[in-house]
Amino acid sequence: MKKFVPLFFVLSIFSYQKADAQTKKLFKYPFVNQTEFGVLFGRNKETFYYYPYFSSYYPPKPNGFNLQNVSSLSLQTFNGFKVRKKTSVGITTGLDAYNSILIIPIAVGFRHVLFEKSDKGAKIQTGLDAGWGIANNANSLENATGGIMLNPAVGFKFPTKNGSSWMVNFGYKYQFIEITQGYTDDYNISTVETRNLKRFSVKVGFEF
Amino acid sequence: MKKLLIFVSAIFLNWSCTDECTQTRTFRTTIPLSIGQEQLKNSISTNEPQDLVNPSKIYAYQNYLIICETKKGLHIIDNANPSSPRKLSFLKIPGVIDMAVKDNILYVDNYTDLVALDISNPKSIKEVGRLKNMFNNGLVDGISWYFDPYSKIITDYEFKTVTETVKTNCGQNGTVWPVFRGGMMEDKAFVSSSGSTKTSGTGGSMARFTIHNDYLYAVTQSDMLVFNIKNEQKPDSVNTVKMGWGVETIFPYKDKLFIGSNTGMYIYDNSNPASPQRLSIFQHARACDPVVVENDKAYVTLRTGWCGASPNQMDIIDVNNLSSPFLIKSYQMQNPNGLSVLNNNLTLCEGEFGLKTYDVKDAMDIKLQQHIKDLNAFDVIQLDASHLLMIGKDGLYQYDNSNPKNLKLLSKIEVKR
Repeated sequence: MKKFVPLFFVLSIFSYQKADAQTKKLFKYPFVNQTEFGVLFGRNKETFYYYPYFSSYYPPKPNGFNLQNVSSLSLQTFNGFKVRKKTSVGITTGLDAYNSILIIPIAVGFRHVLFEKSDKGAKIQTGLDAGWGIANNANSLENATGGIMLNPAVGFKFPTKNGSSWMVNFGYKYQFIEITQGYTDDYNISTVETRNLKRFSVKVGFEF
Repeated sequence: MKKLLIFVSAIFLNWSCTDECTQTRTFRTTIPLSIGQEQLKNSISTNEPQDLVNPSKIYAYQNYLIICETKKGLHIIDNANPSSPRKLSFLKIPGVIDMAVKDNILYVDNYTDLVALDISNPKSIKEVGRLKNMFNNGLVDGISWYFDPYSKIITDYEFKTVTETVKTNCGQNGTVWPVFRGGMMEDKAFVSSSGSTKTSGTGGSMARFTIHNDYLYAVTQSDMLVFNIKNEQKPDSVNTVKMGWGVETIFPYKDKLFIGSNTGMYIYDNSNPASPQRLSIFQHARACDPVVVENDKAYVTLRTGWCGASPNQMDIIDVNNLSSPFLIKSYQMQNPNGLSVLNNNLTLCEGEFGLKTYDVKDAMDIKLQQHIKDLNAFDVIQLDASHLLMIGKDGLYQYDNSNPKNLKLLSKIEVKR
């Protein structure tokens, strides 16, 4: 159940937006929602090791590698307030499916329009989300904890006639995950894996 | 504005999109070490007393206690006063697993060789005889060693705790968890019990060496080696009896040899000591099983360990007719290891569950006398009606067992880790 609490939080934001559409005058600043869906592209290097074990212990030596392209899905929603004409500040959350581990990032972020020809024309937008990713366990043998999440992005915004706009964003996503082996015995004393996931992100979305 | 653009593009250029994952793991593993056979010749030396680190078998001879530090050497302890045992010396013997004493001559295994040592002066022990190439392999505490007769190199393994950091593939291509390293063969018990002959000492139910009259019997994984030790200084190999794989212990009783293997108990007739003859086999589930015998009843404990998985229990077997032993009754135990029986008082080690004493006058209805819970017991010897030796993870305990309902602790030799 605990796992789903952040999920409800995400859903509640969506339902909240509907109600908010009518009552946005309640707030001092206009409400902004940017919901994006996209793919995180990365590369994965598998290093092969040679274990020279003869007559004593030597640490394993790298012996070749294998590079592999990986991709994962990402969903994010930014909810905030337009504090300046070109700048919005808010909270970002979503879902990132990295391999076997699902991350729920919670971050503070801003969106800033860098360049626009006119109010109704296409705009270049930049943004940064910085926060923490909450990990869930992929299996009972390991214990995953999330870590720092950083997500700068640049993209285009194409306003529509009714004041909303379409977006295409290109970004970079950094996510830290630490995995501790839950199983220990006399032989397996401890195992900790740190994962620095670095991905290039391409996202399309909608703003209102 | 432009600065921000430069900053963002700098991040793009400097940070690659390749995941970086490292795994730091700490594990206990077996590390091989090679020993040339020629090195064994001068490898035995008498050293200053040392602390007990990983004691396994115990052997009592006259006023001495010999505690085996597996593959490292033997602690010689003066036990004339059981209330205050005194460490005399540490005898360094590479590859020692078992020992037996007769008339001040200590017989030990030194990897491939059987060595006879004169212990009349425990502070300076002299090597008096050596039989080469008697053993080709051995298995103790889940680690085996082997000898290559062509290169004359002995390869042994030792446990070491290792921490290493490696790069991983971030869990791509299936999960890499969990990483099981090192052997899973594990048995935390070493076992012993009593058997008494006059001139030789007392070994345990887990002993691989035993002395009967002028013969020394040594069991390996598959064979029983018989040595004539009439001329004490020059042991002579007289016979090799093939027994099948999985042999663990040897226990002499009257003119019979009871051999515990991990699939059953073999009974050998020893009336011709130079060539024991097999009489019968009592088979049981695959398990670690020390055997002791008294009054035509054999007591066998079965436990779960690296020898096999079986229910933890103690079987009492009628061996009155040695050609056809039969089970009297099985008793449920927690984790029975070594046991010792003397005058119908059975003392049983329960590993981490402590030490139990039973009255076994009636094999159909044995009675629990005492259960000492707060210690870890592997191995027990009842030397006589008022002296009991018990070895566990934390050290060697000596008890006065004249009242089986209330054992009195005489002394304890601590294990230093």
